[in-house]
Amino acid sequence: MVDFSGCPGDSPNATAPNWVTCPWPPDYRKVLDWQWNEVVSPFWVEHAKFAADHGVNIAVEMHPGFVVYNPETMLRLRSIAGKNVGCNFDPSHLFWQNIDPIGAVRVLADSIFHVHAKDTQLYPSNLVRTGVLDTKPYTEERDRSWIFRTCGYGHGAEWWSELLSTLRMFGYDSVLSIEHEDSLLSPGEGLAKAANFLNSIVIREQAGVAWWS
Amino acid sequence: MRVGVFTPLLSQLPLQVVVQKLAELRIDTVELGTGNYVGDAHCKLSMLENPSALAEFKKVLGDHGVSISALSCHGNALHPEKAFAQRNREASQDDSARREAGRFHDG
Repeated sequence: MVDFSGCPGDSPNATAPNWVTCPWPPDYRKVLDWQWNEVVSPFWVEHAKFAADHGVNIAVEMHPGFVVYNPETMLRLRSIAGKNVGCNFDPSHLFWQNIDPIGAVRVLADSIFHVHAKDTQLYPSNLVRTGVLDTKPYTEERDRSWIFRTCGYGHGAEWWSELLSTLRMFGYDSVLSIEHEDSLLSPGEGLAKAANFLNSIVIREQAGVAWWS
Repeated sequence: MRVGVFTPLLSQLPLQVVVQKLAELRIDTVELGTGNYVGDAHCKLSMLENPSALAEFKKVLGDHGVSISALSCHGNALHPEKAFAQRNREASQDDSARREAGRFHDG
């Protein structure tokens, strides 16, 4: 099953989630320590055990706005919660954090349980104004520093082919689940474009024996 | 390795139409939302108490040879608003849903 890690507030009296993105001033480190020690860890130890008792794996999607948003925090949660907690690998959330998704596959390896197929496009002309922490609505495409795209429209077949090859190299040989959140294409057209694009590069057959080696 | 679809993007269509549409795209794997931010348009957990609805659900998938890659309930179980967090936890922790997840896959 796929879920987010969740994000607590800054204290027991909070009313809204508080995603910490920097270590200083010291308040932020204190909030982060409280979140992980008092809320995230106790919940996920119990939650993961409950799932394990029912034979369920939980694939956590690394997503900004939640305490698990990059490979480091993903592996931290897995070390706390157990081996039935891994990740739902969605490259679109990694691109704009300046994380190379193909490199991240090498870091995450067997903790990848499921994959979302979604792309991201970054716009250098707007990055100089906004940086990557862009809080404008996703529909303000012209002014945003990045938006989500249909597979193939943010990065081409060469990039996606290497991602799929690296996923296989590190043991993931399962589903590429198309997610459509591209505000420039209709859902129907985005789905059809992504399906045709991925159908042309997905690696379907087993590799077989390396007879040349 | 195979191509699948996370179906909330087609949430305005019934499951029967979704699987037909996906067949035209050579896709026979779906990821279904079961609640929280992603909704539950194609896989309502209330089916677990409704044998005829569950049978119909499994028939639609079975007739088209469609398998489920994952059940998804993207939420925030740690939200400081306790009622909101509790609803999110219930969606992801529903005991019967987890046990029945295997039965969904049998479809």
